[in-house]
Amino acid sequence: MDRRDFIRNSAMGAATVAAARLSLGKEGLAQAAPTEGDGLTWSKAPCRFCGTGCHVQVGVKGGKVVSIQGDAKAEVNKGLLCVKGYHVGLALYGKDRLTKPLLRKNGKLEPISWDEAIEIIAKRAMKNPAGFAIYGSGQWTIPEGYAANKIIKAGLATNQIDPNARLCMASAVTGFLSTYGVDEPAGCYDDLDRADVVILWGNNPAEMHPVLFSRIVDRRSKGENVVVIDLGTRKTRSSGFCQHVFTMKPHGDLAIALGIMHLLVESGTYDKEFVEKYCNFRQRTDPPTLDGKAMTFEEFKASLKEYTPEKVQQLSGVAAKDIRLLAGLFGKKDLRITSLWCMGMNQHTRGTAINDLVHGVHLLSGHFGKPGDAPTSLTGQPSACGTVREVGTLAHGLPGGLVVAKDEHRKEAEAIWNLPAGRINAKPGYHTVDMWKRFSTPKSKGGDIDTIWVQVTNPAQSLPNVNALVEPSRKDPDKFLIVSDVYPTRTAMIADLVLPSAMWVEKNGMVGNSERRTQQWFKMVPPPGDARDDCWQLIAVAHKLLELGHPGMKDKDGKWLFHTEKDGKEVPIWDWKHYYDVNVDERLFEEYRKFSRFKHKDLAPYQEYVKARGMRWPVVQQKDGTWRETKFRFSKFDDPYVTKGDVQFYHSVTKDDRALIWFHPYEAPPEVPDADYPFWLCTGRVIEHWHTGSITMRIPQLHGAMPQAYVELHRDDAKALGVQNGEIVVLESRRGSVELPAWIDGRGQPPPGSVFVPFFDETILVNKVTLEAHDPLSKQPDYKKCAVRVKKKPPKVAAVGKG
Amino acid sequence: MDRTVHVGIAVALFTTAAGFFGGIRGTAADTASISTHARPVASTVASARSYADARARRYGPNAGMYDGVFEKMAEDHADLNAPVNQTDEDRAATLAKRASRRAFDGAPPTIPHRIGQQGPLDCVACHGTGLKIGALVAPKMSHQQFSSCTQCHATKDDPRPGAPAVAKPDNEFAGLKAWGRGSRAWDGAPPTIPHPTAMRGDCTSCHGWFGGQGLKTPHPWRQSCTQCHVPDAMNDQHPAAGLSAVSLESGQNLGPGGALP
Repeated sequence: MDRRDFIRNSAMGAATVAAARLSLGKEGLAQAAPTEGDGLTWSKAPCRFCGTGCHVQVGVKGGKVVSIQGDAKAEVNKGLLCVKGYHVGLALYGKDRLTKPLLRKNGKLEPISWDEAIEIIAKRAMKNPAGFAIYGSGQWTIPEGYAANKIIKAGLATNQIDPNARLCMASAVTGFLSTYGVDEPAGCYDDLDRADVVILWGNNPAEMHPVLFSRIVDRRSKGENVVVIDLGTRKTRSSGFCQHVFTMKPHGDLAIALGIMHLLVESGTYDKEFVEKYCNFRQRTDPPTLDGKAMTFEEFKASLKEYTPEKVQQLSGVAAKDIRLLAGLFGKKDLRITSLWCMGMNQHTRGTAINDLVHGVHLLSGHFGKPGDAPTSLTGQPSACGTVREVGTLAHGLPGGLVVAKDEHRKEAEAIWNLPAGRINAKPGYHTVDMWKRFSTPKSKGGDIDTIWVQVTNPAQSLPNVNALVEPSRKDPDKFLIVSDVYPTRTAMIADLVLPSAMWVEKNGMVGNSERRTQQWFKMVPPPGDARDDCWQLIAVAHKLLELGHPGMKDKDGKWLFHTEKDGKEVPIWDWKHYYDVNVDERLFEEYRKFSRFKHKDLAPYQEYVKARGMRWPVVQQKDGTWRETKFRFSKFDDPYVTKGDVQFYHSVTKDDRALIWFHPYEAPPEVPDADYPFWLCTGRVIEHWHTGSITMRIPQLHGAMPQAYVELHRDDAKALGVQNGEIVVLESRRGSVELPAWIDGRGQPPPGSVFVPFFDETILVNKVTLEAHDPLSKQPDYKKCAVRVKKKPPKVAAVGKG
Repeated sequence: MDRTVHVGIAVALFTTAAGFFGGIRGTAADTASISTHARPVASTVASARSYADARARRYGPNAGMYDGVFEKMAEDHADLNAPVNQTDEDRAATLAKRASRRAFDGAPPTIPHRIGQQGPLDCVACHGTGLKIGALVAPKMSHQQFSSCTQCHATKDDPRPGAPAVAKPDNEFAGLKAWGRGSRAWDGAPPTIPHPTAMRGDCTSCHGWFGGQGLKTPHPWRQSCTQCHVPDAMNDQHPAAGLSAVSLESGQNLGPGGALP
């Protein structure tokens, strides 16, 4: 019996049980009163929030979501959720859902029809395609991102598309590309069940990836021993579960990784066999590139020489003995060590470097390629991997890990999309910070982006230095901002055109989580009012462009880019009434799937994902016709694409099946506290809220537990400033300031001279204060460190009287 | 016998003796007469003459904190065979209180008291075995295998001391209510379990000693609940229940505004 039969039989079994119940009910269950469970159906969906990718069971009754359970069949979360996940059903029902398209007329947003809205967008793109950009998201579903990417890359042929994921995991991507030649982790969450040691590199999973964190620490309840080590710039909820908490200075991670490598090499405890078989050494060039230039082991060793434990202590603030402790752990071959990281290493002006170095520590010590022994990066959004990294919704990317700059990649894409040769533009579009800078610069001064269509994200709150990147565009009549969203976010409220979107289980969807797992769900409830799917919005605009005569909307045979047939007849999917006549998600996914073979990121047919709680790519068809997922990439025991050796990096940059161990020197952050701005500022999240809080702040239970942003102050600093708990302080950088209440010994504990502010609160816009300096390769900004001053807000002075 | 037992006996003997001699020295009334304080609590404010006295004669604002506590705790561990008297009104009141702490039946309850914000918490001190002192109940947790409590349970109120009040958001979610009673095949048959059992591995959390009035089992001496009470496979993610069966067919046409059939 294959899986499909099993499921069909189970469904039949359930029907039989139900029928039996009904027949019994006639006699035996005469007194059974109607219960709350009557009419309730349960269906699977991945959670809407973070990149962990938990599955939930959604309870639907009367066309509304009424209940959520953790999905017991899901391997990721095994029936457990976090406080956001349990409340994800409430995401749909905030009272101020957007339900009508709105156009700004004389400064006021006023309702218009969908037809008008779609036409306005298409005409902006028609008038100046080169200045028309789409700013997307790691919360886009895979089909949404794919449709947007196709419109921009195959249709307008401008490459002006970039996602908010640029702000959250671009450095992880460049780290994987420069080390392995191909993106995304080799390991998976199963590593967390096997690791003896877990190192948190600037990571607070107890709040940010709670289900994965309890997957680690709950092993202790079963009597297992797992050592968790916290390397962070402040103490967090995770720290309390750790055997070792090493508080480092900002950028201390670079020094620590170099210090570990130095000791491994000096003491000879590095894994000689692994390094000789599977690794090359690399150093960077000026200007830096992903390929760098070769160096010998001897040169590598010499470069590390200065990073003695004592020097590293000086640079990082972590004691020399603790550096030795870490190096000692990596020097032990029988231990299994997993490194976890997320924003701490990615939102870093040396993000690519620190990602390379942590991969390098694992490769150098041979802690790679066995379950529990892996460098594993985590993502913050539900489809940062699925939609952004795999569909390639980046200014330089194409689906399946291809890039616009390479001739052969463009040719492959043109073949799949059936485009005339040369349609795809070889020049990458603008990355996020650049795109918004140009949008906020007048046309006369080189601001060549005049329209941005934002979907599923909230840049007016989440971009760094919003005063410079967003605000100026709102005063420039040439600039037109379109926002598709579900709530009146900060970005929606300053937009020129607002489109109401369907969200989560109000539409079909697919996403991909941090461990290469692709997930699928079906629409379960109708969206409110006139809200419509983001994917439909994109397709409707593409069809309007076709009607307006844009030549790029046709393939080389003159067919529309999104031409869809059923039973030999065209289905007008651009017409909302007919959008669900076919499963558009399935059609787009089947087309997109063709791209997944180039980089061995093989995806199975859509229907396989319908049956599963997600599958990890490469998903390869077996001789018996079944589809098998891959847990551990590059390792012979699990990865079907390994053809020689125990480990094979088959996308190696150096084309010799070897990964690269990089040397990057320690470098200080671009802005360091001084006499005028004496504090470090770090920004981040709390467990209750997700991203800009546009959803979670509308959920009473989450809002109740954390209704407002705050600044965490160390007790000594608070004393010196004369600030008490709850008192309002002014936090100011060279770019802007915010006023917010102080919290001493609060959720986290920054060391003296350092403060922390969560960014979820749109009323306290900490991104007026942050710095837009970014990594030279990944272009990802650093939200984790800049210099600020903090002072107690002076009491309101009464109007001066006559005395 | 090992050393700890000897030490234990010695401590017990000493305590008994000290308590006896301490006790005969005088009563609270005696000492009150020599107190110079005129405040109402003065009857208990007195310098203890021995450490044994100190235990009995607390002073300060929390002097009465433990008055009768241990007796009350003992009361709640009454005879297993004592009849359980509870009414439909009790049940309704308990369910209403339960509902006030949850977004829907099955959601993790919010925490109605202050908690520490950092690190692993000492939730198990009270919620490990459950605790009841008078009307105050710390329910026993029904999923002891989990250790990161704040992963699922958030505080009901703003945890920041001195923070300014912020208006609550308006949300129209109407969550599943408590499921009502289980069904009985005939009068006197054991009722089925009318709610999912996920995260509710320990029935005594709600139906045991510290359970809400109206939900308590009338036979607390029985240990194996599912011997007689069966859960509903459909609501309990049972593999045979065909969960997600509604989602299995591809290309369902829900219609642009349609819901599932």
